[in-house]
Amino acid sequence: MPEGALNGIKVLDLSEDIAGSFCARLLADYGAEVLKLEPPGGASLRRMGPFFHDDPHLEKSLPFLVLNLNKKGATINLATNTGQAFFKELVQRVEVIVESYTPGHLASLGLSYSELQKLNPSLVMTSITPFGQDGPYSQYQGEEIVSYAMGMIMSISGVQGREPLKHGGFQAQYEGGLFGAGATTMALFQQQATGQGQQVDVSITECVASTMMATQTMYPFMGGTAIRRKPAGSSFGHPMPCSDGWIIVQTGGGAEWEDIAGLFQAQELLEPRFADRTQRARNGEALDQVVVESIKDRSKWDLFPEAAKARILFGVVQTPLELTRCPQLESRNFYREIEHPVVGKVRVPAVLCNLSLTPYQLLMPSPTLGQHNAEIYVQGLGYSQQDLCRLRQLNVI
Amino acid sequence: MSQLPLEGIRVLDSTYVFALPYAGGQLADLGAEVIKIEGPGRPDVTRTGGYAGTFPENEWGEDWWNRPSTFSLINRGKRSLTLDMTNPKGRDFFRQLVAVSDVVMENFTPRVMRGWELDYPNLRKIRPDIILVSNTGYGHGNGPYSSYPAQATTQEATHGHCWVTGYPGDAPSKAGASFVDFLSTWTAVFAIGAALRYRHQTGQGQWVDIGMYQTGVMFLSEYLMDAAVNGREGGRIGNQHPYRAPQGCYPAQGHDQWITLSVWDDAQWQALCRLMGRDDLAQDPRFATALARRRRHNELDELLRAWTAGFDKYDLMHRLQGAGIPAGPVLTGRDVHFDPHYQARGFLERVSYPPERQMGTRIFMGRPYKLSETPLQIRSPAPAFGQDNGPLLQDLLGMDQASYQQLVQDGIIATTPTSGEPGPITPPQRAVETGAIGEWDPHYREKLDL
Repeated sequence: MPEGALNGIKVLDLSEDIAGSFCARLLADYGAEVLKLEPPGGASLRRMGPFFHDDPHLEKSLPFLVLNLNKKGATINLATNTGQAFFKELVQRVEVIVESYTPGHLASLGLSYSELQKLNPSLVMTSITPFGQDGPYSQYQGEEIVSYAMGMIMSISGVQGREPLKHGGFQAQYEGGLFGAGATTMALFQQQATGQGQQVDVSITECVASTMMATQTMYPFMGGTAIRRKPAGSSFGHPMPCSDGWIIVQTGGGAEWEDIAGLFQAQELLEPRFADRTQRARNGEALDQVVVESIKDRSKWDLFPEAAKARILFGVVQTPLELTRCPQLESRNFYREIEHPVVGKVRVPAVLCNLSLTPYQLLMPSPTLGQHNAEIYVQGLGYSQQDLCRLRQLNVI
Repeated sequence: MSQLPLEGIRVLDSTYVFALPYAGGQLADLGAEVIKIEGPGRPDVTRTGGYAGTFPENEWGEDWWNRPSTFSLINRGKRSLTLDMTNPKGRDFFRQLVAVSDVVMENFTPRVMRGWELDYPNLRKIRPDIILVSNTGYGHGNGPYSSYPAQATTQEATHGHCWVTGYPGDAPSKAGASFVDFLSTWTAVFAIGAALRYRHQTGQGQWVDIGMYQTGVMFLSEYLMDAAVNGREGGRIGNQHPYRAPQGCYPAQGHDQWITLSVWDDAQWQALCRLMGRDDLAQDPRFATALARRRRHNELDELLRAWTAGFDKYDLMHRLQGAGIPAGPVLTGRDVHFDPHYQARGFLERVSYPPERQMGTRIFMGRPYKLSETPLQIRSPAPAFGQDNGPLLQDLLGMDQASYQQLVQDGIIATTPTSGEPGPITPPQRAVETGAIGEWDPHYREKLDL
């Protein structure tokens, strides 16, 4: 079996949300040994839907199941002195902590980065929070929509005259997880080379903001402020309806305007009023009419390969069900199957990218609550099975 | 100060547009020596045409290809080498550079690097422990879409983002700009960190193959699971939360000003009613439970809109947060430059150009994380086209002056691109009138002290 690139790295994952869980999962996917530490009642992510077969059971949260693959799991009550003492023992045996508590929460338990660093000088602690560890809003409550709002992206999403629009789902959280994982591997490379540990302070709002290249720079370059698109006019670059769904087409790439006119089988597109970018912008509504009329009886699945043949930048709006059957994802071996002790066999979205020598490996399903308690506390830290029972009764684990 | 994480690491960045070029910029911030390679006749599209962004004071200037905002943000901290890769001589210098580099990044369509014999098996022959990072639209391999042309805009549809984004009951929608590019950016940073660490441990390099499409799909994992096990199609719920209510984006005082808020539980609902001075609502059985609020979301939106419209967006954020309710204003590209939190975090950095560049000082986003022991910053402005040709070819590769001059004459290297047009410039007032931009502030330089 090939090794993982992060082979030999041990991680404690304290996070209860999507961002921290995703970050720690990516480390696990590429070889780190990750232990998820949950409060005795379970991480809050276990209460987030959708659920397997719509059964709101602690072991059936789909976000939890998919974001904690490849991790072991134990419980620990950090609000107790005993739990804190165990945690300090564990910290000395790992390279990384991933956490997403409100800044100051761990410090209030005597578990701040500077305290933990005394126990383990080369410790990397990745903290992923809505606003970061410092600054006037660091104690403010974050929420997905707030990160999009304060990360600028809503100011250009949606249409003029209507309210700004958030991204679907919890993609800002995923950004925090992925970007945080990137910063963490860099800190780990340095840790390995120099023994230097550090706290990696990730702000989810800044993750969203850092994607806004044209939006941020416009003001200090020429005083302008970007805005949402106009509600009508050319929908090139935006979804347009066809017979069985929606397509999107863009100029540029390797295709000429004649190629696009050919794809849509519309001679009118070759008229002077659509001849160049300026003309097309001016006659945007007419342009959309021609295109939408030409594709109203055509299937997105016929148009997609045809457009590709003509080197046209083209996409089809895919639904989640379509994505679960996508032949391209199959060819990349993106989905993997796992046998989970409670929900049984499920196919999971798995592979972020291919590393030729140290490939992605699916080794374990997400842990059930406290699944590895005995392994961690008895075999690992040397407590007895009787101690384990006492700790359970004391609500420490 | 401690050594930066990537000090001593050399990266050949033969990439275009946003995704990997931005990863190169991030690596430069981390201390790597990043060499951006462009063809004399193939300048990066962020120097030319529609992807360039804006220009200082909205003027092209003489060397317009060195001045666009988007190019400048993405390529900060890099050195610049122009090299005609379509010429065998150019590729020969590329091979020589590979021999003295740690990481190579490229985003050609899959067949190009193979055709040039610069794919991973060939690069390995030059430098056995090289780390090659390839980014393509759909990933390498034999999949049906692997050779399809792709850019973020069209991929937003394909990777499922548009299906779940949009106003309720309305068409699927794109959101933001080039979203999936940045997922590839950070996938690359993540993979390079892991691969460098593995190389340090074992002496072995490897090939990182990123498909943007796949990174985008990954971000919808819970939708995919819901589809796979429950047969559910997801869909568009606008700004609402799947189970908490109310949540939305509501108007604030002023033109196109907005506040977002999200109520998680009964306590926050009660707090919101107190803040609104609406004890009647707090008592109203129609909104008493979380489930009832979710069902009557549209009615709540009406009530909230009427209330929020009377407040300044910042003032309302502080009031709501003070009552324990998650809330935040929609910040524009202008707002962030004056926001006290952004200022305190140091997210926006001032970068001063050498006088001959005539770019003055500009402000750019740094990075969304901070390292406690090795603070990072943008280390230098984005390079002028080919500005490091001399040092890289003569000092690093040991080329003599005569051969260097020959390359210049043959057009294999250059400091002026031989193709490409400057991005369009619209007078700002006209751009406001046509709705291309939201507003224009002629006093931005004084306000930012530029």
